[in-house]
Amino acid sequence: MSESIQKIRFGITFKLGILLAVFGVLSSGLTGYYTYHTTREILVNEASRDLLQATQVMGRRFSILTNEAAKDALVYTKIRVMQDVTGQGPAAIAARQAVADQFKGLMTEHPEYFQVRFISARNNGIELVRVDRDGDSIRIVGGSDLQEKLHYPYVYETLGLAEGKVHFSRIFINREVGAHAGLQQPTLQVATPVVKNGGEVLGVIVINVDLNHMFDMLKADLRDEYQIYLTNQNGDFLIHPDRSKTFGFDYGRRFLVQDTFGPVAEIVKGKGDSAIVRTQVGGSKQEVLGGFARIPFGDQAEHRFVIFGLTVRLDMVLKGMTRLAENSASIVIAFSLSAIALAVLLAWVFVRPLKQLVESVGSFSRTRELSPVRVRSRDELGLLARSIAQMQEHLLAHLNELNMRKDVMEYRARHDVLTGAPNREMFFDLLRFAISSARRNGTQLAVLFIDLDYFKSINDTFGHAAGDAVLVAVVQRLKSAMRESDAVARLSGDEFGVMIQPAEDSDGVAHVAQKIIDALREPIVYGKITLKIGASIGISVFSADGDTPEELLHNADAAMYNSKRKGRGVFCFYTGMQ
Amino acid sequence: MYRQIFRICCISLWLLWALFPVSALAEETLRVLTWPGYADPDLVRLFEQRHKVKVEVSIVGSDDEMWSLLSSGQGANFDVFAVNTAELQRYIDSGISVPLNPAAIPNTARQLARFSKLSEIPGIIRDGQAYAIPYTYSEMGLIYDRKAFRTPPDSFAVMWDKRYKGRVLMYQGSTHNFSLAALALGSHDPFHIAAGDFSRLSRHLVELRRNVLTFYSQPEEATQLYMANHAVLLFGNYGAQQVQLLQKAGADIGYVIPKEGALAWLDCWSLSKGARNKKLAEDWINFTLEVRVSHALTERQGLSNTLEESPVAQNAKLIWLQQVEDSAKRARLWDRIISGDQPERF
Repeated sequence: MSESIQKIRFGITFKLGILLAVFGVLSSGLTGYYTYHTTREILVNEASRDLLQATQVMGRRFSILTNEAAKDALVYTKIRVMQDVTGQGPAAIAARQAVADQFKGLMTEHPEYFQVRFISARNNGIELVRVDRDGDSIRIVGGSDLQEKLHYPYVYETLGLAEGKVHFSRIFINREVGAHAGLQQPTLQVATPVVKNGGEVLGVIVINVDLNHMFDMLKADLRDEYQIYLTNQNGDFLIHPDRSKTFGFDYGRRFLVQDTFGPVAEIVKGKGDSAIVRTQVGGSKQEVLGGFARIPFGDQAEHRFVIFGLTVRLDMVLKGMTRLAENSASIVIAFSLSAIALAVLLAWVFVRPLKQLVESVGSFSRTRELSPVRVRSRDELGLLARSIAQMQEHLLAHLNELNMRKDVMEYRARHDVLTGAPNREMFFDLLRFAISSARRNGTQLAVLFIDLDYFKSINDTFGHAAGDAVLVAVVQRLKSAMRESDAVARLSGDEFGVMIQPAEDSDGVAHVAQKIIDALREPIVYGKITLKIGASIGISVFSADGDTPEELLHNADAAMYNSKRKGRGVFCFYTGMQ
Repeated sequence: MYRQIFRICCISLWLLWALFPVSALAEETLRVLTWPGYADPDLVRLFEQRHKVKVEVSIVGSDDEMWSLLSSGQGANFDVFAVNTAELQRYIDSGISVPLNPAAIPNTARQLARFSKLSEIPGIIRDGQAYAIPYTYSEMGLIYDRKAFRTPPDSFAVMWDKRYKGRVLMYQGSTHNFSLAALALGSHDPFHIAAGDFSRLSRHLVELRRNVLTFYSQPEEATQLYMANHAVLLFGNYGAQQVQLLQKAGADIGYVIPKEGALAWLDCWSLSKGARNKKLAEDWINFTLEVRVSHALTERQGLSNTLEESPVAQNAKLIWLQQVEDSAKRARLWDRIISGDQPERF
């Protein structure tokens, strides 16, 4: 049993500890992870909303700026001197000079204007007043540098507009040779007709707006990590962080916003006003977050719009998440460690009484003694401990009874029930023991084989009860006739064996034998009657007459027959030749 | 989606494998470099079955793309390619295009005379050797409003006619516009303008500018402008394709090739220097000149073929495009013209 106890390799403490620790670590880890994840989603969603809002704000500012350009154009249609600008005389020349000066003032005020012109409705749309931005200066263009522009939509379409209406062009790359700073630049044109008092259309005022400058203005409020996009109604990029992706349609290629930012397709299709995107851009695995919005501009009836977009790298949005992640990680680690400690403690608290129980049971099985169980708790463990103590008590009681019974059985197996004297079996054992000690000590011992005379007749005459009384009396007398170290046994019926040890000499043995004969010759009182018996004795001596119990008893028996033949009531030593 | 594409690829591969027995793998391969619609799969399969060969068709979308594919390997990666007569010149110059034998292509006999007489097509014959066989073409005629013109205009000069001021639409392209101006002024070689003629032609184009409503780039844009502005004349840079678009939009138009003749591009088959089996490549060219194949080109793509006379081009003068004397110069001048420079400045 103790072996099987030692065989436990991973005890319950270990298993329970591991289980609790794993549970603790898992729960804190998962909580940490989900907190991180959810927070991340919340941050991303908030950032998306913010981006979209910023996009819409920027878009409104764009609309306001274009409308301001439109207002500027309209203001100049109303000035007095405009009415004289188309003539040929000196008044007209003065008027053109005056208008040019005013345009120059306007451009000084608005650095985002490339060009402000008055274009005549006559003479194939010849420019009559033209002020260009040229590097840092503003230049009034005149003479043969003035060009005919009637074949451009911003002229022929504007000429067809009613007074006070404004034409907003597409956003395009200006390729008009001689446009100075505006050449090859993304441009938006705002144009409005100038009408004479009589109703005749004199020409158009055209303002070319520098789109890049406008966007630099819009971008000024933005942090550097934002990328800004602008597309036309079809989704062609007009502004893009990568310049080579803009105005692709101008040279036969298309770079469409919906190809890079899928959800924006809904705006292009007219199915939505805004879109939030989250995608990887370019070849890099860099994820970006973006907001795109439809921004109407110009005359509302024309349903003109552009699409604005702002994107930011996701890792910029989640910059704060790194710290959150670190915090979460350390919290998770701390919780995990305390979970492990708690698990160990719990396992110990739970397992200690169990160990005590095991110890108590173990010591009980080793010593068969009750040891007090020191578990006093009122829970299941206490109950278990008390049950085990009770069980031990029961077991012990049973064991004691069993032992007692065994002793009785053993006694009965080796003693004669009637007289209480050792039986033949035990006599042999005693003899064997005595022989070995005699052999060791070099002493002698004698075996006396006693057969009662006339016993059979007593049994027949007075009944078995009388016979039994005789046998009991015989044993008492034999015992009293002998020393403490000697032994008496009832071998069978009326035969008894006596062992004398040590037997110093044959005279001593003979003396004992005679004493026995004398003692048994005394009458035995049984109730009202007196019974008389006698004894015939044969004697064998170790080691002269044999060195085994069987041999010694056999030879003593033989000597006893010799006594019987001599007439009973005598003893004979074994002589070897009978 | 990728899975679907993968599945389709697998099925196509399996079909290929099933259609062509294993022995086909050992068969010869003809490598064709051409344009969309010039070698449709069903016709390619017919050729493969007939000649017990495999045909690999590569499609390009622009002249530049074709040049980079052919010049990168000096033509080694292809056997036969389709190229227009103007572009053909640089392939001959660089040795990528090699002479072929028209006698080995018997179907040339079926071609209309203007295509079978190779010597009359500029750019095909050099040093007495033929480098290409015409396959398809498109001309740049004049589209007009049938209500505005009782009889079809017969000259490009009508575009300068002040009566139609503001109702003419012109293409926005420097090379063709100078060629057109030269034609309109009676030149017989619009691709080689003498240095002294440029200012005259430029001023003529300024006059055209003053007469047009505006200039267009794309056929769809032209259609939209024509419909929205009641135009009556339109220079059809994209030919029959634009006629179709306008008719679809509901315009009542006619299409003519004026007496000056129309500029036209002509795509031809040419052999590559890397051709592994010249005979097979010539068989391919012969095959595309079968009525069935050439007619499919017209029926499916709306392009004119070289076997059947197109109703518009019949008896008309077609002026096959050639490399021009100095396209950069034409572009520089044209930019100033369209920007509105006054005629005195040229």
